[in-house]
Amino acid sequence: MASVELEQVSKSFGKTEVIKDMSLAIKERELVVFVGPSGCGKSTLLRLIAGLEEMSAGTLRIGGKVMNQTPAADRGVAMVFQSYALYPHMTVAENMGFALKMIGTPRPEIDRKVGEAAEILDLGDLLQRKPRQLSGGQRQRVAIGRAIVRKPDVFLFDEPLSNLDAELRARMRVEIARLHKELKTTMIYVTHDQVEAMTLADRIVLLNKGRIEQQGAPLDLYEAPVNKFVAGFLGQPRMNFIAVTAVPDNVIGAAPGAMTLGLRPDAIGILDGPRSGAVAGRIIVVEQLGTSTLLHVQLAGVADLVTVEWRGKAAHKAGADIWLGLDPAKGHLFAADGRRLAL
Amino acid sequence: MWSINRFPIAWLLPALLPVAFITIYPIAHALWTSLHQVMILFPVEPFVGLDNYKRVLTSDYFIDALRNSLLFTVIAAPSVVILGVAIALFLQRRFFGSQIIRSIVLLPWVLPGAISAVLWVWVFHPSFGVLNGLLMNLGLIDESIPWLTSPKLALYAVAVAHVWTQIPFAVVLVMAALASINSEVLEAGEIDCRSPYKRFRHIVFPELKAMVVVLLVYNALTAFTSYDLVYAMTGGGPGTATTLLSFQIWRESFSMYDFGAGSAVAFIVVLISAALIIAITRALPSDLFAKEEAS
Repeated sequence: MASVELEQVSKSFGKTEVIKDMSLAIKERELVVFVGPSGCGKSTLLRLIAGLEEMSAGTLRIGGKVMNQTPAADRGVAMVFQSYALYPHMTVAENMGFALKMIGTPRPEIDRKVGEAAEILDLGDLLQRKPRQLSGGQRQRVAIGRAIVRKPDVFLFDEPLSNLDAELRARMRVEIARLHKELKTTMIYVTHDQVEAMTLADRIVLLNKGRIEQQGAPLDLYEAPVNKFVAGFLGQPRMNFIAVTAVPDNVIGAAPGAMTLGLRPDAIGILDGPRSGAVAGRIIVVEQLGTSTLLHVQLAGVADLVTVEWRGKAAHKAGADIWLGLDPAKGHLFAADGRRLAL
Repeated sequence: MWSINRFPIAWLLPALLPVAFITIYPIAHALWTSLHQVMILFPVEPFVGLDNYKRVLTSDYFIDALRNSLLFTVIAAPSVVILGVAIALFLQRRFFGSQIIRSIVLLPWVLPGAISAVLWVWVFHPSFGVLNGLLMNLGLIDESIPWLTSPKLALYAVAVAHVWTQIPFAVVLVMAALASINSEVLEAGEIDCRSPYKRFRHIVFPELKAMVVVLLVYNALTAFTSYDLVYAMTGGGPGTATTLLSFQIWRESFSMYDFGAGSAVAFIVVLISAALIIAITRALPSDLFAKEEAS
């Protein structure tokens, strides 16, 4: 295991600056998730650490050693790719033992290490199969096995679950969390899926346009987002943003853009009828999720539908009128430039 | 009721008839010719059995031509494939001017054989040739080398010209094969192995193997049946130094007007070619024809 430090790292492709003057320290044994929308630079950042891309500026240290010029194979990293990237002509066992074979590890030792990794990942029966004979989930486990066998200082995961179906993705997520506990190795995990980020991470690094918007423990980011972008990115269903002018009078939509009230769907109350602080709206769509119900409500003067999460099975019907309680104390207030304001 | 299952042959006839007409008929006619005495000057064409074959096989030139053809094939086919793979690997990189160099490499492909031959005659020309001039300027030789008129060198010189004409096709196919390799697999290789040579051997080459076998078979056939460069560059000479079996088909038929013997040589070339294909595909085990196993 090793720490990873980035110091004022930049990366440009031609004139496009993808990573902008970024500094970040990842501690030993930490599981850090880089998350952000498409094109935010998270995969590029991972590839810079792996040595698959060259940095335009800055310093990268792994385990305290400067790695700027070190070839990928000598950085002590192992990477799991989105497309699994298994060698198609090799068996599962050959795939997993390839890196060891390349550095001249004796055959019996390779077999032992491959056997150990296969046991951890329950791949024992598949060792003689070729990648094309495996399912997506099995391939992903082999790809992880190939990384484990090398006993790397740092594991790098580049959207490893994006090609799997929802059920398998949930299972593999748990498996990766378990692996991190067992192996106690530094892991850097890239995803655009905020559920993966929230559930796996010791620390989330939320990126946007080549910069770090915010980093911290998942719940810290969820509960205390520094700006509207972070607040909107984390949380499922997404936070509602409502333009407001004054608080706490709930004057909605009077001067759009002046300030924004951010309320998570579960922070909006459903009221019996008109009363002080209640806002009238009409239910447009009802989504029954089993344990909860999502109501998408049109409020007068608010362009976007407001999503309300109701614990349990709500009896509400689309087309009906509804009264919502928008309590600013349960949400966040953002300035016109997106910064969160103290309530 | 019309059913596609009832008369399968009938449905295929519209496609099969032209194929039969343009391939089976000429081959059958050549076989017939090889078994008859067909000479332009004699109106009668009597059946002579295997006499043409016997005459061809026992002639003075046959052993020379066979040896030349095999040597030509053994030099040319692997050279085309090795150089094709090397150039494709080089051109796969992106660098300043790579697009222009790609176009230049493909140039020999668009030149007709006869023009390539003329071009190479001038390269090898003893008095005005670029090659001799270059070697002299570099101080490597004192007097010009008669590349195309020396019995020892002529076959190699023609082989060089032949390889030059065939490389672009190999480059295009190998580049296509390289492009089809998942880039993440190559990156995984970069993380797993430091040596570029080992990465090529263990990761890239296995992915190219099927294409390499196809190219080897194709180039062995092209070299073994090559005729145009010899015709235009040396006319089979000096002596029989560049007389290839395929060139001898032309010479028997259109120089001697002995079509029976020409066809007999043609059939011998076909048999040897078939043997070559089988030998190459056996010698280089490939996943090309391996059955895909279901998961």
